[in-house]
Amino acid sequence: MRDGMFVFDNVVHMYDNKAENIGPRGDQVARNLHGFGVVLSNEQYPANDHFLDEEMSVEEAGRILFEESQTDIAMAQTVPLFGWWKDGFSPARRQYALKEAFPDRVLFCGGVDPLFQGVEGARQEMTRQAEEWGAVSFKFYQAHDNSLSWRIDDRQIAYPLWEKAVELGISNVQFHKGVPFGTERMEHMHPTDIQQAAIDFPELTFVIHHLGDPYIDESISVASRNPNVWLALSAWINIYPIMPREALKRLGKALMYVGPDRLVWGSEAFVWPNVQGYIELFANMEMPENLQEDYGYPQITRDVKRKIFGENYARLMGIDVGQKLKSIYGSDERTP
Amino acid sequence: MAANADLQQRVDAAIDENIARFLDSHGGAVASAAVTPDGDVTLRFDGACRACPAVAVTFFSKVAPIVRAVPGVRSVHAPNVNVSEAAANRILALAAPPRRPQER
Repeated sequence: MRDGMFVFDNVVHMYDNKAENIGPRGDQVARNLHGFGVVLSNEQYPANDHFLDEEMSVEEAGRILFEESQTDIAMAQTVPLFGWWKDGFSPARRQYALKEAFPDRVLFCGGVDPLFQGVEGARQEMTRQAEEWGAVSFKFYQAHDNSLSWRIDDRQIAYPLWEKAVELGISNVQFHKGVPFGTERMEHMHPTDIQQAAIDFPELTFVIHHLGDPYIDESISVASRNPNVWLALSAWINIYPIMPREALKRLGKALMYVGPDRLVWGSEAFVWPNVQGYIELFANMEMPENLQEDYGYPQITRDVKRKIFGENYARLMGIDVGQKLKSIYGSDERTP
Repeated sequence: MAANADLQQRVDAAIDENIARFLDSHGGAVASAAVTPDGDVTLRFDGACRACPAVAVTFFSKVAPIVRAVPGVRSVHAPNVNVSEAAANRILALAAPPRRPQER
């Protein structure tokens, strides 16, 4: 907990960049991803220095999250990119391993891809990940190499997945939007294909990651008009050390049009391992007066921080925060 | 939050009488979502107003003054209106009636 506020990290990745998991051109894409981390890093907020050729160990992940940071619970998210990595950048089995190691503090987010596994194969794997490994959400990456992609509103390819999610009692499905890793086409990472699916599946919530960067205005517009579209601030806090003004403008716009109730905290560990540093940044963040004056962006109040840090995503996941804290620490020490 | 059905009815009547048709003319809508016994009103914008970039202008310059004028109302807010105090003050200044030039 940070200063009496519950911290629920929506997205950490147990990556596997070991040589045996690297697929065609995967070494280049892994270096691209690491380079992205390096560009958005400095001495205090470094990129992971043992990212390439290794996998994140359960022991190190647990230490970073639960010993060195004030994260209360976290969701380990599968990255089902099966082209560049044979079993995906962050394989489901590694996310499940973290959940097995910290069953009270880690939730498992599964992941499948209908192009690599086939629609029926993906549906079967969703069922397996939910029933055998306790998946409570699913993550999707739609854009691959050589213009291979699928759309969220595709009734043949995608809707069977959303129907399966509903059947499994899943409350939210999540999407990597924007932020290309390699030679994906940008239009395949655009967030507007969420709109019709969000209308057709009102019982599901669709989460856009990274504010869809660079499609930030579009992501915010889609979320502002559809109550079951939420925004994950993953890879948002990570730009703050390098581009603080830009980060504040992005948050200000999201707060103004979407409001504070549908934004969720995500550290994007372990591309950047200083999880506690990012928690401190957000806990101490204020909207500068000139952005309030010139752009009309609202103040980042304690209430806003409390919601974003964890209470919003706990609500979506149906987690009783008080009970969760008591089960971890024996007491609920939150303060208003 | 306890309800105040009588006041809620009067708030919605004031909205209907003074602003609802104007909002409806371009696909928007607003109604009370909750009213506490102490007169704290929460509004809910709907339709085209829900994600309109100008919803703060509509709220501060038109809707809030109408609701605030209903006897018994202590405060009024709308969860989807999220702008700075500076922006709210600017809207109110723009919405204020122009002053007549002083006579010499």
